[in-house]
Amino acid sequence: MNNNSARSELALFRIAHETFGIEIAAIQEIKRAPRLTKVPGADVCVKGVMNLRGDIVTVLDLSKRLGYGEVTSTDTTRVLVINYRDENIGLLVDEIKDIVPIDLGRVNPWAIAKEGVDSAFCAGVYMHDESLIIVLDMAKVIFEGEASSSINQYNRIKSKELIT
Amino acid sequence: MTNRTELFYDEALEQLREIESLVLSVEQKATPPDNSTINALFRSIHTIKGGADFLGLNDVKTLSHETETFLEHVKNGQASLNSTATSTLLRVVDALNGLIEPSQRSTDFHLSDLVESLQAITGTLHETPRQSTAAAAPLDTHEGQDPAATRSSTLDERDTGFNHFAILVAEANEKDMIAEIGEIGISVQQTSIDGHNTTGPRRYEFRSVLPPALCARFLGVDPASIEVIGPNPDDDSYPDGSLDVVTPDTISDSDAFLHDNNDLAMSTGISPDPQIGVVGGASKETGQGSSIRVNVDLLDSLMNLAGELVLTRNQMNQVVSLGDPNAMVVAAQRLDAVTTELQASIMSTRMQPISVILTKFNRVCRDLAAQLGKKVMFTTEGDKVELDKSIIESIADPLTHLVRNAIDHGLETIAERERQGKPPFGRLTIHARHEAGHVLIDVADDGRGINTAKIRDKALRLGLLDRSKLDDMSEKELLRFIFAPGFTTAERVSDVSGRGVGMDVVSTNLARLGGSIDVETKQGEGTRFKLKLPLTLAIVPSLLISVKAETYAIPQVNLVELLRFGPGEHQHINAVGDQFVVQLRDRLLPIIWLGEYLGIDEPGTTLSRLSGESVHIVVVSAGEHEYGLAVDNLMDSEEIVVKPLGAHLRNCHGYAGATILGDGQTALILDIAGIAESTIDHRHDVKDASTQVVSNRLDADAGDSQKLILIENAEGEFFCVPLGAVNRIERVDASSIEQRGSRSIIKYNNSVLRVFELTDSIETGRRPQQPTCFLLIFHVNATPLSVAVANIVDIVDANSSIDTLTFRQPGVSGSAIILSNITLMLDLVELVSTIEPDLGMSRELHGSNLPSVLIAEDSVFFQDKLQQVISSIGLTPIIAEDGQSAWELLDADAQSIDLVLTDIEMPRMDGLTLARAIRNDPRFSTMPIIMLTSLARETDVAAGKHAGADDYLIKMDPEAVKQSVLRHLDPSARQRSEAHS
Repeated sequence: MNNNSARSELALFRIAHETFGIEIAAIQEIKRAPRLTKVPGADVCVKGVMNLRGDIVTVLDLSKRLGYGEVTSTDTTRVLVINYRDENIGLLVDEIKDIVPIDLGRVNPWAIAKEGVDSAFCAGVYMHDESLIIVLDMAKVIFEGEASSSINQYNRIKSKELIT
Repeated sequence: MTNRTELFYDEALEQLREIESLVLSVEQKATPPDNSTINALFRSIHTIKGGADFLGLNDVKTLSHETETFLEHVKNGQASLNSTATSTLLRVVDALNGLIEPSQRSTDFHLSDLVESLQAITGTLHETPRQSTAAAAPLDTHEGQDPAATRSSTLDERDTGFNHFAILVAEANEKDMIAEIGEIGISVQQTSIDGHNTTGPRRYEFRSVLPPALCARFLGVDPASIEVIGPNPDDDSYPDGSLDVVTPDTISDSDAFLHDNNDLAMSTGISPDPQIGVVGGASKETGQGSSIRVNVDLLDSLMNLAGELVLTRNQMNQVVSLGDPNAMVVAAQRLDAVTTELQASIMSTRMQPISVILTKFNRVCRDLAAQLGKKVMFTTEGDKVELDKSIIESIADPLTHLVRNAIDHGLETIAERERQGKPPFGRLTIHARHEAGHVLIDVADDGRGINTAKIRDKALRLGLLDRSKLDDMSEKELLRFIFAPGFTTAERVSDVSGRGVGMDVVSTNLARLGGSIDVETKQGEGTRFKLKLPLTLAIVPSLLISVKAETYAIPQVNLVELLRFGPGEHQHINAVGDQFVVQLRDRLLPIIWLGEYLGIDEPGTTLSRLSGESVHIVVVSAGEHEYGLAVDNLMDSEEIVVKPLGAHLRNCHGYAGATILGDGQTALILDIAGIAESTIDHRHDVKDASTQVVSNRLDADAGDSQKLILIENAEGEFFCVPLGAVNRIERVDASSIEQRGSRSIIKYNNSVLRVFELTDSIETGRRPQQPTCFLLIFHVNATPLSVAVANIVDIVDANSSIDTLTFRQPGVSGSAIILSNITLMLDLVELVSTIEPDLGMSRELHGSNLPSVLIAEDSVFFQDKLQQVISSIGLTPIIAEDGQSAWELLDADAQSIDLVLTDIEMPRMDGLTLARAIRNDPRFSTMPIIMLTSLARETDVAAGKHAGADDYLIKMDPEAVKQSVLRHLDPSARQRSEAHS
């Protein structure tokens, strides 16, 4: 356990019924989800792209990424804009809940995978007000190595209707 | 990297380019270089040395110092700038490049070696063994051995020299004095006179090009008050380690900064701070780093425009609050004008002359030519043509490849050139120019040209296409192979080129930029690569289209034309196998349904939606590929700003980026080249179909084409029949075909017509049960027969590249790839005779009595076809595969031949010779001769007639052949034939 306990703040948000946290320093801004432009052929976790003041920002479906279903857009749906490796990336979440001060030293490195959540994305868990918060590891969530193209599946069309 | 070092690097690289081009120009001229060139060289290397010294880059300093020493000797006539010297200098340039920008070149060299070679060409003054010339050797080691006297005597004469002074300045006028020193040079150091920084006069050290007397006059002080510390090499009053050695050379180090101040591009005002002196560095030639130098006029105009924009915004705000619609229009117009101008100005800051990269090729040419023992005269035209910085960067590699290729493969060796009566110097020209919103760059050499025969052989060896197909290809078509991956015609692999990687990369890279490459060549005269590039990539005029609710942009550079097919016009769109094609004038264009490609539409659904709607097809081209993109709606033409996509989307093919539309929504930009490549990678038929389209077009030119009826019988099984082999095609009710015993018949024109099925003879799927089918009606010995097929797909022009081996079987004369499908070519007569041998027999039985036509033809395909034509009019065909065997046949059996039908181009004996031989033989004085050939020129016709031909026909209209044969047949023979019909 880390004794040089550092103070930080955690942004808490909800995906499905689970509460997650991201260190607030990682977040550039939080936006109401705009209309996204779909990118056919992109990884399933890519929800689309959006215009952030003239910048094209890729928006990931965090819910899908973490192994829950697709985010269904509601009034509370928000986009967290994260700057990662000089690129702005949006994360779609179900609801922003709170911002809480935390003691980084008390973040327990994730040991046991919580049901439904891929432990690969977790930096640890944190106890807050008697409830467990899963702190996400941004680098792993955003890791871009898994994009695959479905365009290759442009299937053959057989048809003779047009042949006269 | 600090700002200061970055600036030094930028500038040093610039100077190195300068040195390189100067050295190369010296090398090219036979005469010894003039003083101004040497001075320019000297100045440049000096600038580098100064900066390096200032920053403590010892290696750079050592190397540039030695170079400088050498140049000084050249100047004094103590050394000469011969070829050894220029080579060494170029090596120095490379080494310095490597030291300054490690990413750019390899640093694989030994400093000491270079220093030694430099000292060697200097006509070395260092007779004594050097203690050390190693990399970090302190400079004063050399200085100690160098007769300092020589140096100091040259100090004041040097027009470029820098002197080091010290002056005592009273506190009162300190500020003014510093400013004034700044105007004549660079202040270096301020020390208080007694070492303690207290009040009282302070000692300022500065450097200036001016002699002491002038300095004094400039500063308005007594010359005596200026202390010249320049010639004193032992002065070690610098606390900064990088300046610890003060020699005449190091004293003059920083003149670079001053020189640059002389021709400031951006007047920052000269400040006493040396760093700021650098900031204002001249922009003779902008480097390819991440910074751009901007002309101050341009910056001013940008400022003005920004001001305008602010005013317009104010006006806008006002108008909006007033709500006056007329004023709003005016304001909008003004905004439009201002933004257009602002955009143009900002774009022009990104524009760079193409000379930035062209000058590099001087060196590439020189080194390569030397390495390969060739002589190359490299010239450029249109150096001033400007292109977007990013495009300039991206074409550097493709151009380098073309240049290297031209020198390695294109240009011949000196001996070879002389043998061919060419000047020993090979010419290589790069010519850039503007044309219709594009930049065209030609890379031309006067070398041996590209041997298309070699390309053909290579393509055959690589199994890219079969021989007959290759034989039918035009030169231009063959040349395209050089852009195919893995293709090289070089006999040997050199380290320069010939590995077969490169040209395809060149082509794809250019396509990615929205450009294209084309090649022209003439054997023995040279090759010209023609590159076409857009001016900029940042803002592109585009067409917006939509599929479902999504909007996409297609760059206008890729647009060829727009097609719209109304609800009733879908017959122009056909499926050939899996591939949809559209008939566009004389060719077929593959179509990609964008919705299905992108996965928005379910595969296959587009078609069902088509029935009641019109189809929009955007014909696009990128590099090699041309195809139609079927979209739902065409929207608008707009200038869009290209924005890159994020890292997650980098693996997605098909997008060139994204843009933001007027309503703030984002739209994806389609990558036309990428779509073509990704579909071709996974669906070979797209490529095949487009190749086929190309070859269809070719065939039209080649003249050897023929019309084929394309049939689909069972699903996916294609057959074809030469149009000439069929007399009639009838669409009939399938139910009207009756079974009589084992035979199928149909009532036709008041008589009974036998109907054969393909399945009777060939292993193939059954004709599906359909209400109607087609009958191919043909004649065997004047008896009409028919073959029933399910569908007639099309009538296509196809080349004669028939594979007569793979699928050969009774009834099938061969196979061909037509519109990307394997298609079996039917021989109807053979087909029915395998089913009913009696029919075939009867043909042969009659044959002996019938007039015979001798067919001299080398192509198996045409042999076949002519045989059918001749048979169909009730004559007996006799085949000879060339003129010689035709003559032998004739000679052996003079009586049995009634007419000669001959091709012209044949091995052993051509048709003309055959015709002359026949005419010269009294036995055949009346023998009718018909020439049948693809040579259609007037002179060919005349030659044929002159040789004795009675008729001259162009391949190949069966009807014309029939008519002509019947017309020229001897009346008695004609009677014999008519008697049998």
